[in-house]
Amino acid sequence: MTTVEVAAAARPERLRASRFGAFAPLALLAGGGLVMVALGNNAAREEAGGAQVLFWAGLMLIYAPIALRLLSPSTSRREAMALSVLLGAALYIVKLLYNPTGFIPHDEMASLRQMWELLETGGFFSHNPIVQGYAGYPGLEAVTAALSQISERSIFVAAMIVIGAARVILMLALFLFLERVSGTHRVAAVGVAVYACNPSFLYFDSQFAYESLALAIGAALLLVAQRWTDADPPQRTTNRSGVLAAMAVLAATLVTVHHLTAYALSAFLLTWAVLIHLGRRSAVNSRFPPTRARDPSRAAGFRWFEGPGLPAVFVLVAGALWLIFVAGDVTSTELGSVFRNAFNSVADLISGQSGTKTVFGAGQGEANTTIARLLGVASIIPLLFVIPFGLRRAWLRVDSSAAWRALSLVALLYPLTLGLRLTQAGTETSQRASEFVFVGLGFVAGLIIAELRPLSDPLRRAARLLGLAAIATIAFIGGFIIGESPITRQPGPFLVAGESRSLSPEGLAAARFADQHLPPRSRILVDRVNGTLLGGLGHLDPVVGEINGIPVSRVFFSRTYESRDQEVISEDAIEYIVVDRRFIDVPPSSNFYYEAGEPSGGNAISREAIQKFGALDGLDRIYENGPIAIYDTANLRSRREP
Amino acid sequence: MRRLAGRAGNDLLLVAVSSVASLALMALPIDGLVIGLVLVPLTLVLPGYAVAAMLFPSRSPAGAERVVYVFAFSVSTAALGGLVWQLAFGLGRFAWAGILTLITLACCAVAARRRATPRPGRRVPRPQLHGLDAPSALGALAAIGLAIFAIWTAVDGLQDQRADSKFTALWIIPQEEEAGGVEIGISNHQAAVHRYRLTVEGAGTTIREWEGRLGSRQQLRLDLEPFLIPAGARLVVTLYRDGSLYRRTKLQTEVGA
Repeated sequence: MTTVEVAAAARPERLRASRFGAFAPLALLAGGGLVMVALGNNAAREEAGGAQVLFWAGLMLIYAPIALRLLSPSTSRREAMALSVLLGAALYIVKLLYNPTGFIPHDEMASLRQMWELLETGGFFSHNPIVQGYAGYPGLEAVTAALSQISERSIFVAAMIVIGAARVILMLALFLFLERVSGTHRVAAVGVAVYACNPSFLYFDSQFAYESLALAIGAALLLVAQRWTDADPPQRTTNRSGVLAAMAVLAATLVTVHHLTAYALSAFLLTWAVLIHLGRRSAVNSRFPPTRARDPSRAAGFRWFEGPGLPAVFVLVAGALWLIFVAGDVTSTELGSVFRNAFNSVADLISGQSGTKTVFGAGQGEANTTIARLLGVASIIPLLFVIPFGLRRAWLRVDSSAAWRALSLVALLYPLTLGLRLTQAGTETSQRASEFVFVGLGFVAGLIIAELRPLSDPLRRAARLLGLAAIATIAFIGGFIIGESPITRQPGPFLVAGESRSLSPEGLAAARFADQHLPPRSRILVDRVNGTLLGGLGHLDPVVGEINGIPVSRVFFSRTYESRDQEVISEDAIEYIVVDRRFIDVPPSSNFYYEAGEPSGGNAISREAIQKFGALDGLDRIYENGPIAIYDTANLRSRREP
Repeated sequence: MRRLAGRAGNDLLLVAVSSVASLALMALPIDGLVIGLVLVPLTLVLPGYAVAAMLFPSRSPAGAERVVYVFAFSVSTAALGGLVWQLAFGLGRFAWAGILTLITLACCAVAARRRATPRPGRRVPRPQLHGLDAPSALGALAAIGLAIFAIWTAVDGLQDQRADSKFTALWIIPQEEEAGGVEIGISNHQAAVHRYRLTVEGAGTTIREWEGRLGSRQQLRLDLEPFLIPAGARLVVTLYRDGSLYRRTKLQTEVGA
């Protein structure tokens, strides 16, 4: 009997008999936690006391009791599965509580724009001026458009249903995959609890954006790949065509939804396939203990295409075809800049050309408290701690498998992603990698915890369980602190250039005006947050970057209107300029107003720079709501000189 | 139909009938939340169920794993079906419904044939989803109630915050449909009723004046006909709120009287 089986056998008879164990009371606690988060957010909107206490207590009320049961050896399979779904769904609603009536900047507005283009043109691949990559990956918009049009619900309602369903399916698929791979629901239960600690889980992976759906599709493909790989020869021949078609369909779907998820999944499947192949070689077997008897790496006559290599090929071929014929340009533009910046910033850091960024810093806005910093650091330690033990268990002990070894290698990426966080540009790559890396981390943590020696003393057993749940809760809270800027964790009063905190009635009113009165796809010069609103809701095209080597954002920073500003307006065919007067003398909360690297260098924009537009001859102020003014450049564009 | 149900399972018959019924429901001139919710499975459940039944005709995979595939294949149907369709046609409400229903019916037919083919060791599948027991179901319902209350609370808080914003928007834009005409608008985004006075000046003269009250969330739109606008005049719109100068917008016109 293995350690896991011994632990399972030690379950109290009463709990084993119950079908869903503590699900009902934990669901009630999760509901109570959601109410506390909502009250905390409302208090934060009014800058009332207790906002943070209610918010964090609500999060802990949702996570900690569920984690306690998921970590417990007495939890039945059904209860663990139900709790996994409950955890995913409750934390998804936490994101919904942030802004329960509409989308928030930045990615959700990009998806909304893509949806509008699809509904307007009936075609899939319209240009997206907010996030270029969305134009090449319309899977999310397709299913949301279908749901929205068929049910005649708003895009927001349809999007919330699709992403909510995707979250539930992700939790189920992840649970089933980890259970199949490990052979026990204990590892799956712990793995899911740890996976929820990834810094992107609470907000980023709950937003209306392609990655949120892709994770569910990727997990479903992983499940079929696992079914294909671990099938006995008779099973394999019984429904070979069905499983092959399922993998092909899901691979094709995945590449239409999200690039990075497809690449990460194919990389994992290839690693798994290579490890199966290597496991069959005597040179490797002499260095490492043999895998379990039923592992494909020990099965007689096992061929590469009977394992994860085939679904990897499906994803790679589909992805390559998609890149060549559909999305090559937008993908290279979007991912190229992300990876290039990350690489350059790390290279600069290593060569000493730049220092580290301020870890836990938040631009000019609110900074993390000391407690938050400590929690952030404390959340990393237990996750780093399990990696060597997981590697040892997967690589140096008997009764392992190629899949275990592949997952332990995924976990090994975690310290590398932490290193990326030392630079500003690398942080985005690290953040994006976390939803994949935590699958491996969840697995190795599950493996270690499920194989802990059973304790006969009830007090020591309870103390260990409480200790593990407390560590998991710290990992969850700390993960959220690491992943989300302090200014955007809760809603609150308006902040200048503060992403979702810059969503204001004035900005929304300007975007609705643009939707109703300005020609769609007009080119506008505008700051980042108003740009996402005007692009997503107003259907205009925000312009960023450079023209003739001149950064377009300089138009906002020059104290007087100069010939280079005129060159930007004329040469870049700018049709409208949107000016937000709230920026005057207030530095941006997230280091820039318009785009990274803008001339401001993070300093406040001057009054003269903003007010010059009002006095500029030939510029018509066609819309005004107080803070926000929209200028028509029709009479300015044709000029040669200012 | 009976043969389909008898040999291949009532589940496929139910899925096929549901998809056709959903299509019929869409054609009826009725609307509302309930109808909207009834139509959700046509996108997120029925196509995926049919595809999963076609690809996995045996009892396995069952339960939660089949639920995963039902959703994933539903997404596949919409994404890939829509992708192929839009290469030749446009996508609209009935196009989406047609694509999804056709794929659902086709997959149900293939699934029925695959299930009916006698193979050793295979039985007609019955979905194996275990429902919650009574206490768990009650707990889930209570949690859903609390979640709805939390969302309602959050909506309330958000509306209170937005109600604190007190501004009125003013605009002037050329009319699209009438060459040379101009539209002027006022939108009261405040919670209270306010008194406004608006003047439009061009070429040194007052062209139009308006005075009145606008309630909360009320809009005013004034159309300025081309014959009222002096040729090539720069129009200046001034808005007074409760007696004080409040906003000013400008527009250079090209055509006029």
